[in-house]
Amino acid sequence: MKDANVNYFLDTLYYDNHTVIYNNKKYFFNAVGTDENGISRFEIYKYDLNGENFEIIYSIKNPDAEICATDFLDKKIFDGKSFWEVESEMTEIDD
Amino acid sequence: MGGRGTFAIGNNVNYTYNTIGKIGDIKVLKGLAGKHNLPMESHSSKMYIRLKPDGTFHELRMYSDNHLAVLDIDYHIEPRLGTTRKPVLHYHTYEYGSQYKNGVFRHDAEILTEKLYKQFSKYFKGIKQ
Repeated sequence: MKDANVNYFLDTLYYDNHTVIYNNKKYFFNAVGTDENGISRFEIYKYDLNGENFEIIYSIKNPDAEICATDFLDKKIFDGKSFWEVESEMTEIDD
Repeated sequence: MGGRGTFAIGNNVNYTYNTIGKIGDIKVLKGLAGKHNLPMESHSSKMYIRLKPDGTFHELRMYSDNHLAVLDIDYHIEPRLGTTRKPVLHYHTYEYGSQYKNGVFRHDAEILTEKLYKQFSKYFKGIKQ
């Protein structure tokens, strides 16, 4: 990842949101949150650089926070590629 | 957070943040080495603040007496609260226990209460409510 440490990025998904730019789009990784029933959830959103066309590209709910934070890693959700295939081209930003 | 690693509750708090200023009595931190967020543990401070690149408020993190994060006040989009176009002031609280992944549990976002707003608004640089 550019301007980021990918291990830190993934380790902190349990409590920190992250925003990256990849292929001229922004991706918002919404940190794992847990509700009062102990169900965790995690989502990834994709939108234009100007904030338009906001869409959800991945979501999960599971009692296991670790599953929530890691299940997406091999899903082909980044323009048909997985996180590991594209992470070196992602730039983290403060947004 | 300047110059050397320090210990919090026996854990090494790596020197990976710079203090770039203060808002009131609270240090404003900027992460180094690819770290964009505030630390989950503090050295001695009760709170740290993070700003966006344009200098507006982004996040405040409050720590317990044993230096663990207990409260986040954030200002960014939060789809779980229905906001995708504009940032919104909201907060998260934390719980700790060995039953949680990494020993910590983060509650879902909630809209900032009037009480919390009044208590912390002096730190919300650049935000107009």
